[in-house]
Amino acid sequence: MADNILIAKNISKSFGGIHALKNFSFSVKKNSITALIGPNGAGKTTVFNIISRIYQQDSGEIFFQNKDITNFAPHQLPQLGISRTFQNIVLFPNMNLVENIMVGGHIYGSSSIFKYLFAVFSSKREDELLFKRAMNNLEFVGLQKLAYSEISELTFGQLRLAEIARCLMSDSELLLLDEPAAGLNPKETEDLARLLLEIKKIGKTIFIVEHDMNLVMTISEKIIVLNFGEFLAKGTPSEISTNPQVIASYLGDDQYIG
Amino acid sequence: MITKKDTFQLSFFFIIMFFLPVILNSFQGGGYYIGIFVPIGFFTLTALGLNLLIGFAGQISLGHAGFMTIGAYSSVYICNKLGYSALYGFALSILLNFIIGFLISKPILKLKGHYLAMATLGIGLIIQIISREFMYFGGGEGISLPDLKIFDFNFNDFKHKEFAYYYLVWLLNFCVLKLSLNFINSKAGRALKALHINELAAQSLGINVTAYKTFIFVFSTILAGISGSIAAHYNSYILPTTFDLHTSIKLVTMVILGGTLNIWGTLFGVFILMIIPELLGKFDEYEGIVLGAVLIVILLFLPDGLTSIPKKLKRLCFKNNG
Repeated sequence: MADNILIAKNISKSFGGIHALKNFSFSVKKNSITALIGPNGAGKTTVFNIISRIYQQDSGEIFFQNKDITNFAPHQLPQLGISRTFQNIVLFPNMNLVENIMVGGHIYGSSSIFKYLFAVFSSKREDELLFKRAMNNLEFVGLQKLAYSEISELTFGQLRLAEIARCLMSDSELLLLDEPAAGLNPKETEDLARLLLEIKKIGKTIFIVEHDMNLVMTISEKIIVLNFGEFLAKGTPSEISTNPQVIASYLGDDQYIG
Repeated sequence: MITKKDTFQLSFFFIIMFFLPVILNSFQGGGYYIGIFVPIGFFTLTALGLNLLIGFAGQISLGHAGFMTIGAYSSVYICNKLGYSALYGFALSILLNFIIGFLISKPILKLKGHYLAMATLGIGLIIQIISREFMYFGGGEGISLPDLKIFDFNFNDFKHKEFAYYYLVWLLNFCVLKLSLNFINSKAGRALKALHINELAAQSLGINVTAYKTFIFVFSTILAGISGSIAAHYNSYILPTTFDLHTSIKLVTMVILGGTLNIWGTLFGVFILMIIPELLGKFDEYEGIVLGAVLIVILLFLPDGLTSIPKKLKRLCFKNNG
């Protein structure tokens, strides 16, 4: 289908004797918010790691904008239009916040490392541009006042937002967000939901792994359920929350439905 | 981008280093003091490259003395064995370190932490053993080098030897400082700092981690090579043990002592570690003990090196006031 930005066909991956993924197929529609849910250990992060080429799948194909990405290296993905965040936030404490965000724009500017040694062109102008974009993105997530803070001075919720701001720097079509609400309080989660909808509004596609059912049910258009490495169900939030299979395996407990 | 502060510091550094010999020379025995700054100069050259590798990219090398040895023997081969101009010696030194650095960086930089330390240590030892067992270069007895002549200028002429070498190494250091500042103040420097913390995350942001690590490793080996060539010419003699494991460890200590996220720190680190043996005078057999003690004290109390002292003091004052 033409309006699917990401299509995975029969992905399998095993670690030793454990089958983390078995013939898993799914698709993500362009300019949508799609959620991938499943109990702990279902293989959600493995799916993300395979999309971002950190793992190589044992079999199966992945297409991004109709292009097979199996042979791409992880560092080529932002160039292609895929960027991601991590479940355990990874920011760089040896730089301040705005510099951290600027790292997200690495794909812009010259790709020759040599040039930066000899500064044969004006890397100053390039940096000014990156800086401006970084400030814009910080403003977008509401952290512009903290631009010069050290990473250690930020709260957990701010770190999450910073990672999303950095993810936006490469101007990627597809954002893979790995549990962005983990560790956030209800107020912060609400703000996050608003932010994600805002990101969708500017034309991005969001593929999200999340445990917070409340968030998933409110923002996503499509939910894919993964159970023990296998496809279980897909559908709209209301379909998923009434799907007997899903309820049996995962949403059985009332507190998850919220 | 290079900040105004960097430009100011660089100009300040240039002026100080330019006039230092003139000032030192006005003292009695000034030549001796200028002479101290020559080894400080060529160790600074290696340490600056090593700082990019250790402090910014977060890798480690305990084998950089080996690359200095390669540089030194390149000059021996060209100047002593072939009798060509010293400039070709430098060219061979750069070329060899480029090739060897590039070839070994591929497998070796896949390693991390202790394993990388052990591997680089091994490489340093291998180079030292080869230079000792290779009788063509005099084996363990060492081999002498002709004077360093660039065009018609003889650097080893006794009348101005210290001066000539002083300006040669410090001019090179100035250039390398400028290049390093260019580098670390651009997106390339941020990429190094990012891969230092987490290579996977750096990759997912579009940073070609392998390319950056290889580049910075090769850059540092080339600097070590040039430094080794100059050192060999300055001493007029090279032994396989001139640059040994002890030198490698000393280089790492210099970088850590100065402060790993600050280019300027390296200058202090090298200066202090090179001046200690001079101050110890006839007690210089205790040098090892002093160096060890310095390293332990720094790691315990100043893990970010000497250049973190102002920040620490500021924080201390802040605490007292508030």
